[in-house]
Amino acid sequence: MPDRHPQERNLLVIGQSHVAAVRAAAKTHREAFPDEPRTRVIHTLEEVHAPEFVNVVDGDYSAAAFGAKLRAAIEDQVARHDPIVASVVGGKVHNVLALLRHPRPFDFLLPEEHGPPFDQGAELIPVALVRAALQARLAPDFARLRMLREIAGPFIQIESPPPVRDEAFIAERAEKAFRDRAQGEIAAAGAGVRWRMWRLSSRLLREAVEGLGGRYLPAPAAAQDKQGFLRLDFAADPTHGNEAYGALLIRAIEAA
Amino acid sequence: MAEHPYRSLPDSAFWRRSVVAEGAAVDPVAGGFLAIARNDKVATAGSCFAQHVARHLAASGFNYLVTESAHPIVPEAAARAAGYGVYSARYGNIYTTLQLVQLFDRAYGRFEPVEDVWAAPDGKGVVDPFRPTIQPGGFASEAEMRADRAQHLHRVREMFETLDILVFTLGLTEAWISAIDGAAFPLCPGVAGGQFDPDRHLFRNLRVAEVREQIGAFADRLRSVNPAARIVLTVSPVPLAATASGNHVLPAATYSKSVLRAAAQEAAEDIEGVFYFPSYEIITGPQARGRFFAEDLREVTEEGVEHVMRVFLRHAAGVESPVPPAEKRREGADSFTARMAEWVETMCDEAMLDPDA
Repeated sequence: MPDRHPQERNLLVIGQSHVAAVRAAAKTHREAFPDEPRTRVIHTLEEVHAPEFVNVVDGDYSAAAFGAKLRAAIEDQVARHDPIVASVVGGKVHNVLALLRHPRPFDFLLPEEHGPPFDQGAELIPVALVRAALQARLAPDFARLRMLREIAGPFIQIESPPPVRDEAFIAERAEKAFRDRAQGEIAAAGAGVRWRMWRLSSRLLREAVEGLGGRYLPAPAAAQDKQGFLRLDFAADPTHGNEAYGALLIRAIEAA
Repeated sequence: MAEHPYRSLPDSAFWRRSVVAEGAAVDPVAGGFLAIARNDKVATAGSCFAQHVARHLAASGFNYLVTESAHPIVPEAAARAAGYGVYSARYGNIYTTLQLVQLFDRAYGRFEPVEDVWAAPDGKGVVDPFRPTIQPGGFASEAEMRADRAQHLHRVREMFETLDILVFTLGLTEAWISAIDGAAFPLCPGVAGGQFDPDRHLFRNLRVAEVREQIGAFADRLRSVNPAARIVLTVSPVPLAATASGNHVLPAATYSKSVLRAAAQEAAEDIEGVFYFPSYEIITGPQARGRFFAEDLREVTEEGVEHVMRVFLRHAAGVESPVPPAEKRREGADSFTARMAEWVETMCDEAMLDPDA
């Protein structure tokens, strides 16, 4: 029996892999309380909606639009259930850049936020250039947010899960993934650079969402330790929240 | 027919035979010149014309030395805009010989200028006064600027200590210096950060003897850490954009280039292992009839740059047909991040293994 929080409204949560936590929590809730409003999810990359995008030219997403099937799926959900629409788009790029220790270890200084200390053995990259690195790779996510606003109107964007602090938790899973490849030593990036990359990515997504008239919800504080890292009891893997995390997201969306 | 010294001189000694006859295609290198081997590490620095030299050297298959490269995660366009790959290290344009000497001294802790941080023009960040345009928009904080500068100067030391040849393009004689300690700024305070204060910022127009002395001082310093280093001096053919000398900008530009040209000649004649290459003459000589200048009468056309580099590589390396620089992608593509993307993607797929909701 899940923690009892009666669901008052239908929710529609759109995104990619981070919808998994929401989907799992929604399923458990629905099975326990089948008569209550529901949380539904759309994973934009699922085959049933393909192609996700049209009008992407040589990696340029400036004119990108959702494919017809994906657009129809979102429109159908909105029309049938009048849900609160939320997005968990984003959340991959900062991990691509900074989850594991780069062969040229790097770190950066993030103004106005106090996090773990700078990795003294790392190369400094000016934050403006880290921002450029994130922005370039976030282009598909920015296009997703733009399309979501166009189809569903103002929506709520939920910040991606914070990084986990435990480097062994990450390295153990990385070693399994990279076992068959000659990658050299596999190590998690320092907690500081992982935390800062997440914060900077969140800033960029927040700017984009607020520029579209949407609301931005920070990751649930209940899932974070005192320094803002994801507690392991809310982690499914090094980059995703688990079902309990998904349940927190559902409550946060309803309360927003 | 009476004998005299001119009778035995080669064609290159005669204007009609070597300049009028050759026109814009003139090859004005005569006598001995530097020889670059394929494995010689060649570094560049100087005024903006030096960027062209760097670009062509990098594209010509030579061992172009870059000790300060952008991190592979940084997109190429952003890295270029931030001055990575423009020169061998991220010092931006070094217009005067005074700056060059002070760069060495700052890199080795011999000189710590008092005025060493400026507010960015928009007031939101800070600027390194000794490379004020290196970070578009300025650094985000003073801490970031100082950390980046320390890293930069480390790379500058590495460059000085490992290069075989430094190609330095002399650009200006006009300089703005600190009244406190003589620190030379590449740009007048207030132009790209900082605030101009006539009590703290003094105008200097260097003279031939000063420039010559500074070239010698730099050569001594360089050889104190790298005894075999050779230096190629060129003078930028790009005229002054503006002068603070009180003269008309045209004679001011002539003065500036004349001083640099004369000092370079003296240094090449006086100092072993220092060479002069006449890119200035190739571009600005009357034989070119101005064809190598762009519409603004300052910038050098690609045709002019290619001719300069063709002559340079012919004499320095015996290369007759250098390959024009293509849009060369940055080396060291980030295969690590590509593998990371694959793994994160895998985790994303696994997160979706139970879609039954």
